[in-house]
Amino acid sequence: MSLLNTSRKHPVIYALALAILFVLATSVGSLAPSGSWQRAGSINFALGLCLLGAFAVSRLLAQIRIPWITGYILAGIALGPHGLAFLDRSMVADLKLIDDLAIGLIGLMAGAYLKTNELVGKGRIITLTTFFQTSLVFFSTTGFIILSAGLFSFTKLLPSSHVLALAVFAGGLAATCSPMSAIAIISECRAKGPFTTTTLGVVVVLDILVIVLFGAITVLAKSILWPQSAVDWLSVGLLLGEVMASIGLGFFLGQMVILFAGRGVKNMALFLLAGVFAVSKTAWWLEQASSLHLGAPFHIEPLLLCLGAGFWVQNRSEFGELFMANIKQFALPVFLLFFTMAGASLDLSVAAIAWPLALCIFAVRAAGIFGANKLAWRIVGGPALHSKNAWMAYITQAGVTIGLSQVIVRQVPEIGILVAPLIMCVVAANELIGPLAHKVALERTGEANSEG
Amino acid sequence: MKILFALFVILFLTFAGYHFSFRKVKVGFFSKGLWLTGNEYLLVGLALGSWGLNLLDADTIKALTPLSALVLGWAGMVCGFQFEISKLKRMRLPYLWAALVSGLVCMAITAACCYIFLPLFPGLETLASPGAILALAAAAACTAPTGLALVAEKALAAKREAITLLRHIAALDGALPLLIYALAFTAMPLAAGSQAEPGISALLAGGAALGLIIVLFAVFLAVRPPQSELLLVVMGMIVLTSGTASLTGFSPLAANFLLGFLLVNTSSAKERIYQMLFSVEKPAYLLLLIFLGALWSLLPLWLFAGALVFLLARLSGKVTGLFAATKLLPLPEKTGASLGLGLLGQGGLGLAIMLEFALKHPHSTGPLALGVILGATIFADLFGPGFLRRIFYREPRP
Repeated sequence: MSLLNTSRKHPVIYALALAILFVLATSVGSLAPSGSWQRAGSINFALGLCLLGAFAVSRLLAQIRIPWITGYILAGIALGPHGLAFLDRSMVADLKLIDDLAIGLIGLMAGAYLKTNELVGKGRIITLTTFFQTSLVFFSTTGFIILSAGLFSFTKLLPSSHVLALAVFAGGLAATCSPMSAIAIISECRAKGPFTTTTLGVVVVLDILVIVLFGAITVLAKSILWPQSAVDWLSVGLLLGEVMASIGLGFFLGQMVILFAGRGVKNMALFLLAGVFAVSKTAWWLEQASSLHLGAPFHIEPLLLCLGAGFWVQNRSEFGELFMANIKQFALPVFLLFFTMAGASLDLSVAAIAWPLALCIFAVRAAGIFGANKLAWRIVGGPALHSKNAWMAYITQAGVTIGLSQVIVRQVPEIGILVAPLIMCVVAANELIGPLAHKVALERTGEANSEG
Repeated sequence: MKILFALFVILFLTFAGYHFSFRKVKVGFFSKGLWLTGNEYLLVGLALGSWGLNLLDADTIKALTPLSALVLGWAGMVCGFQFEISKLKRMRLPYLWAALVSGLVCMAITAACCYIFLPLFPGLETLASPGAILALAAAAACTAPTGLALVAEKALAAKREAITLLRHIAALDGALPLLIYALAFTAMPLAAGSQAEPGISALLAGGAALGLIIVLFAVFLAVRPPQSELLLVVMGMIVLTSGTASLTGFSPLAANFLLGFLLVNTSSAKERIYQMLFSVEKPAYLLLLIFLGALWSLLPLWLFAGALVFLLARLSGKVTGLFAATKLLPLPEKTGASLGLGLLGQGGLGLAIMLEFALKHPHSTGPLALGVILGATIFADLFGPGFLRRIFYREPRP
């Protein structure tokens, strides 16, 4: 029996669990900690509350077919500083350590899902979908913001150069997807099949492409804002180098995993956990060292690196299944904490000013994705069920999008302070609707619950 | 990022150490006492801490709070799981009483000796505080079964009753001292400005919260969650229990012990939970040792003298405790007082008590008490196997 079916039987139990957690949180959690011992206790209490609260919320919402990760995000919003405030900002920051772990493990899992033998024959649809989606979503979002700037209070008073730069950045970020959410939904639904492989392939390729294109978008926006300045092609080249290096190092890590597995040593899960932390550390060290000695930060993307490692192990050895089984041991707590923290981190106060424009961007983006997929599937041909539902798999946005918006804040602060809250609102909408849409797509294509 | 690196190093060493210490290495009997108990990880922790690379400094350890809480909670829960009433009923009653008597006598003697002698050493005066004395005494009462497990293979046939007795004592002697320590813990003053109150209030608040947590656990287990969800529920319950206990002024270790005790006696999922806890036993134990090593203070140098005093006090307590038990109880085999020498190995529960104490008092008595007990643990693991050999391998006098 599947996990989903199991949880459907127990709504009262999960509601009761939530009621008990609420009583605990309002009584014990309201004790103001003093001293390091009690502060440590409050962090542990918050962590326990997150684990159990988000678990119960997600299983309760599963009764009305809402995906678990939407449940985790909603639980995070409810527990976070903008909800019941059981988690304050400092606690959310203290628990951020989980993000690094989660991103690496999700990358490993995403890579391991990509099996070359299953991707054979899907190259065309993946390429076309990626191409149309990137261009259509980028141009439709950018065009919409430019044309409607006078209608929204958020953009009405901005000079035209700022509107143009904002539109270019927002368009670029709108093209991103969330590999983390895609993997979480696929894992939750135990989905397997050609539709799953194709959509995952698109999400991964799209993620790599957008990271590469982001350099070009930044150059374009800067040239709009400061037409006299020289175009910084070096940054574009550096970004390309970073992507290549990340994937290359990922293959190297994958080979290390194969060597490790080949020695017949048990407890691969612990080795992978340590490996993921090593990746984060290496990325940080390389960035610091290159800043210090070369004058420019060279950033290795942990998600891409781990993705490369997972891909390598899955396709270059016989340990793919063992590798996947070991990662899955951690999948549930890691996904739960990652998305609960993502929910708690959402700054809902910015929604008050940016939500009208954000909702329109959400709609325009969804329309762009729909059109791109229709076009791609029409050219390639294929099952009608796939062509009809594919667009729903690409709605979700999460960490990569928010991360890139923070890069804009650092590199172009004049526009960054506008882009970040706007994108946060768009991501919030996509995070809530996207997983549900993806789950529906997997169910309609009959690939949910088909993995062993 | 330093925290991240520290966590990476810890996890890597835990993983590597698990294989190195428990799977790969074949060593002689004497060195097994040092090696297979994972003592090298105390030294690794020391090297990672402020006395070495300073990767695990106070701030980093603070940031790794959820991990240390998980380890402490795991230790408490595993210990609580050993007290399954239906299994205890199958045990010979004198053995059970022997474990309780032995633990209490050892605790009392160690407490008295530490109270009298430790303040005599320069820099160790603060160890005479009631909290530190009780923590040291409770830790002293806990015995490691490792040495007994190693010696048993050859001597089982000849000294079956004696080994069985020692094994039962090693498994159970820490329970009462832990509960006494936990009661004292609630009386320890909290930081200024705390809303939680020590003493009876802490006990009541902690008890009420623990009651709610047990109901919560029962509610989650009622859906018979699959293995992956059970892992999440158990992890969540352990950290929630630890957090609740800390906030209400109760001992997280004891709270998890009680949780484990109640679970093993009431839950139908006890076997599944125990298998889960047991599957991470060795890595979790090594993590505990690394944390202890990182918090280990080597100064003042009188700590080593304090460690020897503690060891002697503990040894006296073990010998006297077992002697008292053999005199008071109808044990199947009348054993000599020297049998108590076989209980010298320092148990993981005792070390967990000291980790909790050191984390609660990081700037005062915690590091000193930890220095005393860790020094004594190294000494005990050096001499312990020799004592065991003396008891079990020496030919009886004609």
